Amino acid sequence: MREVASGSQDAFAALLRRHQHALLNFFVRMGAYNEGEDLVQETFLRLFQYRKRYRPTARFKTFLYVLARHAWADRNRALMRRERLTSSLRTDAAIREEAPVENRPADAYDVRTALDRLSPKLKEVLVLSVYQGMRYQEIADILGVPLGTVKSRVSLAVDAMRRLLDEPGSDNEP
Amino acid sequence: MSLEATTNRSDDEARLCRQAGDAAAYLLGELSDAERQGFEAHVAVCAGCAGELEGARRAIGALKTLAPVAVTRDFAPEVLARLESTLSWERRALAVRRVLAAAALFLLLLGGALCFRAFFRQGPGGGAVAGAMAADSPMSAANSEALAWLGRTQEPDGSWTAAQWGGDPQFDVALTSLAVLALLGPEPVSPDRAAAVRKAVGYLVRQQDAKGAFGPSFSNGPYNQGLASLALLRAFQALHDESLRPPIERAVAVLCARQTPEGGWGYWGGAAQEPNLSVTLWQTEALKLAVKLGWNEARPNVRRAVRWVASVADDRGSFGYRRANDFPAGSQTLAAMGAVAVLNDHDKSVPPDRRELIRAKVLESAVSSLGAPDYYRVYFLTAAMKALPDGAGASQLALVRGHLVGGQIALGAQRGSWPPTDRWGTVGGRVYATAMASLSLQ
Repeated sequence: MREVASGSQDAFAALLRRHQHALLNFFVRMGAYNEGEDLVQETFLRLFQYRKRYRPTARFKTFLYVLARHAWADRNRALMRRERLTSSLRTDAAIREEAPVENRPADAYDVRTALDRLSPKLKEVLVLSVYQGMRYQEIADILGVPLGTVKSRVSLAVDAMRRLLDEPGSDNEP
Repeated sequence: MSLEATTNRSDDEARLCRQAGDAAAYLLGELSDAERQGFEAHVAVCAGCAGELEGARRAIGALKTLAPVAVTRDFAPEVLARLESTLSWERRALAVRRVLAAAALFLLLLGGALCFRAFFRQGPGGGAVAGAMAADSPMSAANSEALAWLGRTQEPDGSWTAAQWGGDPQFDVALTSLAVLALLGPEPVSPDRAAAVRKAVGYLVRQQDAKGAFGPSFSNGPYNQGLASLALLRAFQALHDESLRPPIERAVAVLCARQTPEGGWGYWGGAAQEPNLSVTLWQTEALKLAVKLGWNEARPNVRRAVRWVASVADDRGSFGYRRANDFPAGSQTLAAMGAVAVLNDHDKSVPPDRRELIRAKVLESAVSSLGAPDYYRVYFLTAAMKALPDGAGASQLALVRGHLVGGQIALGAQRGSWPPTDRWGTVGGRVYATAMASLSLQ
């Protein structure tokens, strides 16, 4: 990272190759099924942009995922703005046309669907711990919250997942 | 204790136990050795927590059934390409600051010179010249680098190709023409640049058919036609090469023949033949130069062209693309294009009050043109500013150019070029970006 901070593009490419797979999975698990690759690229562009703010005392992975979270939050904000605009312009007919797409068949209700139904805060800690293999302390550093908060959020998230997966008849929900 | 027994206990009962919340942490390896042993001992005697643990184990197990997503390609090349553009913008900001600093220094010097002159009642000061030189020098250095890049990247047959530098191969004639125009810019033309231009002109002439048309026959052909005609005319003007007369005559004949009854030019073929401002501009600029160099038969065509351009302007000095007000929100590129045609018209076929509005619009566009790169817009904007009378807009011109210089690649193999990151980058590639930027600095 020191070489990246001094502007080395080779070092930057090596860093990117080392982390691109994990980062792509982070975004996909967070729900960016189509834009995951764009978000990976966006995160690395931000990494280069903020390279001089990185302090060697902090773990690099923490720094990277802080930027990834910002990229994700910005994407969601943009999406919300676009959806507000779209919904204000959308006609009733258009909504009727889209509705069948949202009705999933019963067997499509799976782990991914359950994960998507968690609140963003719960989903985030679950993705970071279960899929990214991060320790609670790392997650706490990334989110900027106390360790105990991470612990309770993971516990709540796992409990919510269990309920969603056990829930009978929930599989027709969008 | 059986699993059945534990799962029959209610969740509420389990949650009354303080340690129920440790189940996930236990499974994820987040408990210390002591905590883990304590939790295991507790679960052995607490049916509620044993149920919680089993539920958590199933949930986490289910989560882990999702297979990781594979990375299908290496992102590094794409990110590095985007990075190049980002770095260019960082340099651009630096260049703008430098230009502003130079402008401030110039004003300071000018102020000092005026005070000095007022005090001692001496003759006219040379501050303006010194200031102009100070502001211009980074521009000319940047332009020299751009021309050096073009010199390095010319193909053995004299062309610049889209295949090599990005863009659409159907526009190789237009790209080569843009490079010629850039290389002929600064006077006097050095022997190296003259040699490169001769080779390029040879390539262009070889792309002309017997009737005078350049390049492949397709709807966007007018860009090849207008730019190649302009490039040959500029080469004829700068190098006094009489052998270019016959191809120029054929090229001018095609331009005149393709002019629509309305006076403009459109794409070749289909409904798109209706004239538009972008296509019309290049054909008009070529014919204007032809008239200047003695092809007087094209003079009526130029008059009709300028009248058509003026016809798509509205009462506020904004230009439309095919007709007035067809871009209701306005377009800076169209404003600059229209201004180039109208303000450079020596016959002054547009009334003075309308010209004044158009001038004002150009200056207004300059202020808001410092955002994302758009080499096409900046080219026409700087061309329009140069057409303003009495040096009006000189500070805006310096600012726009300074912004442009900041985007130039400063290091590596592509040093001197501009990244093709604007909206036409996929059509014109790096040759287009660099030639247009170079022309904007001249």
